[in-house]
Amino acid sequence: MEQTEMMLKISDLSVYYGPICALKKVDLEVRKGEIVALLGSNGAGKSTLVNTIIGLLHAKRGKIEFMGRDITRQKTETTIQSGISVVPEGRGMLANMTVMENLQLGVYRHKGVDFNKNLEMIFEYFPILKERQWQAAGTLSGGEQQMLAISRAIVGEPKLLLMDELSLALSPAYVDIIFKALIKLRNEKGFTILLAEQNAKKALQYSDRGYVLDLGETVLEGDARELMGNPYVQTAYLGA
Amino acid sequence: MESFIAQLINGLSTGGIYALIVLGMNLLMLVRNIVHHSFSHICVLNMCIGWLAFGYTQNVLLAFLAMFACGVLVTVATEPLFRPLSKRGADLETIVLAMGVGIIITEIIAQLFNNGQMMTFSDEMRVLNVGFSFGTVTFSLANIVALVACIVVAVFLVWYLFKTANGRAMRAMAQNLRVAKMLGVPFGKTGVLGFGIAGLLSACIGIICIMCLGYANAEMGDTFATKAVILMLFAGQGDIKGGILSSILMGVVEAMALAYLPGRWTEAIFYGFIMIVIIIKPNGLFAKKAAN
Repeated sequence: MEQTEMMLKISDLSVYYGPICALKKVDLEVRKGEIVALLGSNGAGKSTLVNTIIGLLHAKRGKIEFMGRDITRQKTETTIQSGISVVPEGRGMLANMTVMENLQLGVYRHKGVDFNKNLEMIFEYFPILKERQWQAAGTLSGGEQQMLAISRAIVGEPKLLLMDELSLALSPAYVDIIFKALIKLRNEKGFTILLAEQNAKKALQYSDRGYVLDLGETVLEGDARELMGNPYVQTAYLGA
Repeated sequence: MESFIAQLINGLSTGGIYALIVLGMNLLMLVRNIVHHSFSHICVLNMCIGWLAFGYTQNVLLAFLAMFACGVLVTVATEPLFRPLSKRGADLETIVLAMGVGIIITEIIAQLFNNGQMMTFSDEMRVLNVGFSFGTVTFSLANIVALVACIVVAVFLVWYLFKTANGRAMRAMAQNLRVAKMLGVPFGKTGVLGFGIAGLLSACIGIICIMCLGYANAEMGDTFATKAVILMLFAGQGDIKGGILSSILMGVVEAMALAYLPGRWTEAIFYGFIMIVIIIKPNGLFAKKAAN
């Protein structure tokens, strides 16, 4: 594990909303090919962390490195271009635009990727999107929208995928479909994934390692299996 | 019948001009979520610059070039004014700001161009101002050329917005700025690009107005602005295709009212029609059901 390339390294990161501290001295590492779960309840700072990584929010202290380069104060578009894609919280559909247009916008900053080839790959994974490609994204069902959000994020061949609340407002059956597709994609295409999730059970089931955030601080980190067995995680997040 | 056809062409070309102004304002609405009330003032300023440049150089091409330069420069120069307001999602303030810009431009035209007198354009500037006969009626070739020019410009802009990556990015910004940023759409650059294209469009509108109307004065900006803002609301804010259709419809209704109704009832009919639509369909005539 020590030899694998470091994808994302966050050290001593603090973020404030005005006087309110949203993230406090957070350290986090994601290595190449890993799926890392970022757990925590509502308001724990998961989305704040995701938004800070891509530069929509600015850190007061600390450092974010992506593939060895400091991206802490980089503009969002530059960070996206360097190979990070986001599946936004709430799916982030451009509802009045077609499925195809949503996918095309996925490569807006990723010049030089073979859009048509990736599109074929996506339609193989999610055939329903092929059928609906000329429909407005807002007319899709929740699960289909989540498929589109993932597809839009991977069509630009990112090196790192940030997923914010993938399972939110999805039926349990769909959550499994989505996660299984994700694992398959990771295994076949070698994506690295940081998964911000409230649904700790599902997230840990499908990831390699995990971090638990509470009130903006990292309270636990470790192997996904270990975390699943951890008594604190069980009482606080797994309802055991 | 001949006079009907003449009026129809007249109305279509006026409608075409409205359509381009509304299109420009919708473009600015997409990238900055503002109602750029002073867009038509910029179009009129372009006309004045064209008049001035022609006066000095006696060269139509140079005058048109000066209009393009003025359109792009002035429109892009207003972008930094709107950026901070747009960032914090201001609403009413942007309208006040845009009206302020419009008033300043109106004053500039009144003070600095032709001592505030109406500027009439020479036949060279009006290029195609030749009447031609159709049965018993004569009408200006300029109207038909204006109509064609409006169609060409509108088709190009719609193509740009719907079929190019930057156009899609602009529409994405309008729909959900946060998501657009997450996809890597740069807020600053895309906005400036939108303003630049709107500037080019403002020069095209100026040239078409010179051909069709043949004069310019300081008050023209206000007249156009009022109609354009109303047409925007009428079609549904940011609705590109709806804006074009309602503008053309309005131009025709106006021309017909002017020709066939006694007295000066054009304005009353124009606004009456719009009032009814706004009452019945508050989201605009062409508003789709909100997608969920």
